[in-house]
Amino acid sequence: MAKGTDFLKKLGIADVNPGGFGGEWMGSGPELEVITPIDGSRIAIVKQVTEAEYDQIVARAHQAFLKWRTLPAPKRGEVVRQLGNRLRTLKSELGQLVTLEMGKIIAEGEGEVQEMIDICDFSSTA
Amino acid sequence: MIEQWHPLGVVGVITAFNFPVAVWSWNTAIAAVCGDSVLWKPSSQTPLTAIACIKIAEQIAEENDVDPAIFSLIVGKGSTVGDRMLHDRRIPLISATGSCQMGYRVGEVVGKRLGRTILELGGNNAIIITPSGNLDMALRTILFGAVGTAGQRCTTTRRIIVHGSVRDELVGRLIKAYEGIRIGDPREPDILMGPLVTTDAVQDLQNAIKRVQAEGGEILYGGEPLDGPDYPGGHYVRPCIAAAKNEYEIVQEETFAPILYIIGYGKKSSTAQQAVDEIEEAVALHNGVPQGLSSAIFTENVREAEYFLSNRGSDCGIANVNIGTSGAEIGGAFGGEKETGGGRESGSDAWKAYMRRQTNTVNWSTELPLAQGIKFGD
Repeated sequence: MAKGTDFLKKLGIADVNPGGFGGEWMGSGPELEVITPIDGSRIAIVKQVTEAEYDQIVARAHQAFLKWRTLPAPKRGEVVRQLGNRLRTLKSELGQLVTLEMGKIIAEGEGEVQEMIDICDFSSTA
Repeated sequence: MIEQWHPLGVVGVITAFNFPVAVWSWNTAIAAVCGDSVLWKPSSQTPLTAIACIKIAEQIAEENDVDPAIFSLIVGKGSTVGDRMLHDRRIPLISATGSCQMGYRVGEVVGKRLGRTILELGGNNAIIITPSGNLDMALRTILFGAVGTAGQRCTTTRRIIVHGSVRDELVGRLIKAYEGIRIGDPREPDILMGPLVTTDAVQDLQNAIKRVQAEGGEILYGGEPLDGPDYPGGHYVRPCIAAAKNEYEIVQEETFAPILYIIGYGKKSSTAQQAVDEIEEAVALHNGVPQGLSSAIFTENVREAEYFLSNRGSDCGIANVNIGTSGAEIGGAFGGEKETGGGRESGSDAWKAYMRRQTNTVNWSTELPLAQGIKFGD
């Protein structure tokens, strides 16, 4: 892994990462090599999901929906509000990852995270 | 009679490399409040930011004793799991951001099962500069709009439709501004333009330059790939300005790279007052592309501004006066018309797209009126 990438650790990104999540992390399909456009070097590997894992994830997402929909809307809004707050504390790290992975400048990478915070505020308070 | 809005179910969100985290959040924040769960398929170019976001969301869900599977993720090939997702009847809504080509595929497959889509596709965004427009402001907005994110935003400014009387001044100042843009490692604080996402994108820019020249256009500045120790990996280019005609085939397409087309309108000899009558020509050029995402006009003349915003004006989903095409404002509906796909996100009524609407009639009387007042068997 490249130098100066402590933020990856803070975000939970390892050398090899499972690429599927449906309540638990999975990924036993083909490996995907993730390259930074900054110098063409490798950042990390992602293990993609198989079709069977895809099915499992959709089933779990649907199951989660059945329970989530029964919570009162303000409680759901509270979860989104907290997500926005957590993004505030990780704005620099996530912004750096955006820059590393797709090449936009840091101000734009952090700007994108700001947009995430804004939409969390907008949907949970407006 | 009452009306209810219920959550939909699992919402599929397909995102592009250029906004690897924001677009997921636009959909997810609103869908989650609405009571839906979200299944995210990020671009294969940017799976790590997606994994990082889901880890954050997973933690928040667990801290709140909520099933974290409401924030689900699949990184996989479009041709396998991506296609499964489009066909999957367990996913009533697919919100997809990407190229028009991808949008046609999503629209066709999801449409075939009569599922819902929100499509956010390509743009071919233009700014009209009239003789009364503030050139200082226009210059700054063009620079940000055309070069920001290395020309890889869906709202990137791709065409300038400038009046003949101010064209030479604008182009001269624009070239000077382009010369001052620092290109390189996007982590360095004084860099304004980083690399293109793939070497294919570098090639796309080279092809666009060849085509604009072949059709009779002229390269006014830049466009060349950059190499050497400051530009490792073959992803860097100098942003390009080209003189072109709107009807060129290459101008009609969205090239996802920093190439800006300068297109003139009106007579060079027109006064600012005479130019007002030429606004129709500018708008016709403006609207003369298949896409319809974002647009802007720079003018101090109320007639020009109002014409641009009227039903005879810009045909885009976003139309601005004296501010550029680039970027989205949370709270304002984001999206566009024509080949841009018609979808809208994060606007004042965005939540409706993530819910199903139900009309309820509750009979509180002891009579049973039939529809349309029909007498049926009594």
